[in-house]
Amino acid sequence: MKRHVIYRWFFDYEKEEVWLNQMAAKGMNFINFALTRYLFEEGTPGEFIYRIELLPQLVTHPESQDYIRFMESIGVEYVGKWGRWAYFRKKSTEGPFEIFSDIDSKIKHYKSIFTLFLIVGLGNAIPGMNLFNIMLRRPNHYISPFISLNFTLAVVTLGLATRYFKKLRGLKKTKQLYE
Amino acid sequence: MPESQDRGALTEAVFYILLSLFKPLHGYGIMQFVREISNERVVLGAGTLYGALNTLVEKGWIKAVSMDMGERKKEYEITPLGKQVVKDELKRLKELLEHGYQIAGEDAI
Repeated sequence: MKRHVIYRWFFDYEKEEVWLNQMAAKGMNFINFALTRYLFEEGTPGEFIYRIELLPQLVTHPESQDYIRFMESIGVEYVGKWGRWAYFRKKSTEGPFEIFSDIDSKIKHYKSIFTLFLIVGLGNAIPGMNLFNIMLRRPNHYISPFISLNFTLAVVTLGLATRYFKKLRGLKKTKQLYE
Repeated sequence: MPESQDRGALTEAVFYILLSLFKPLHGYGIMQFVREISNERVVLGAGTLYGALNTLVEKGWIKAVSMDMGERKKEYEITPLGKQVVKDELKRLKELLEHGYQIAGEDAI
């Protein structure tokens, strides 16, 4: 079967998931990911539904492997990984495919995503702050590209942390009314 | 995951998972059972089911059934404690239903 490579990078997994499903609807089935490189295989349009999940541990961890085995036992295919992120797909003929079906498990998932972005954000914010320091104190000083990268990463990931914090708060409000 | 004793109400997912396990079933069987019995209203997410099964085993409401060698899919079954939890929940739901009908009227549904 014919294969295609597309280079892209997503910070927000929900946007990435939408994109993968749009591609699948066109018959471009995602089969592997490696640092910005998405591998697709041509197939039947709409054959698969894709879902992305942040696991509590690295995908290679035994507990994650146990989870992946469980997924496979219920007809979900494990497609690829990126650190703690796992890519899954299921045949759309077998009905809807959602990983989380109740508020509690959605909250748990969003919480771990929020924590991840917050840690990455703060980890980059500290060196990123040096950028301002240098610019204010010594306007003509050489600025390392790494510091600019830290700063950009901090802005993006802290923005995402805020986004997921708001989603989390919304779900918690709903939970007060529904079980 | 809800703590029945503390909060008094089970989630629909947990309630139906417990009901499905009055006979031993594996993950896929549980999903099918819940989907069918609820007329596709409750469709369990794969991750939600996995988390619920682990928590229910930890609480002793269900247990993994010993399998033959080579059997890949794990089967689960409800425990006496799990059955008691279902009974308590039925009692609670019955009270809600009775009061609901009394005040909102039988024709409310």
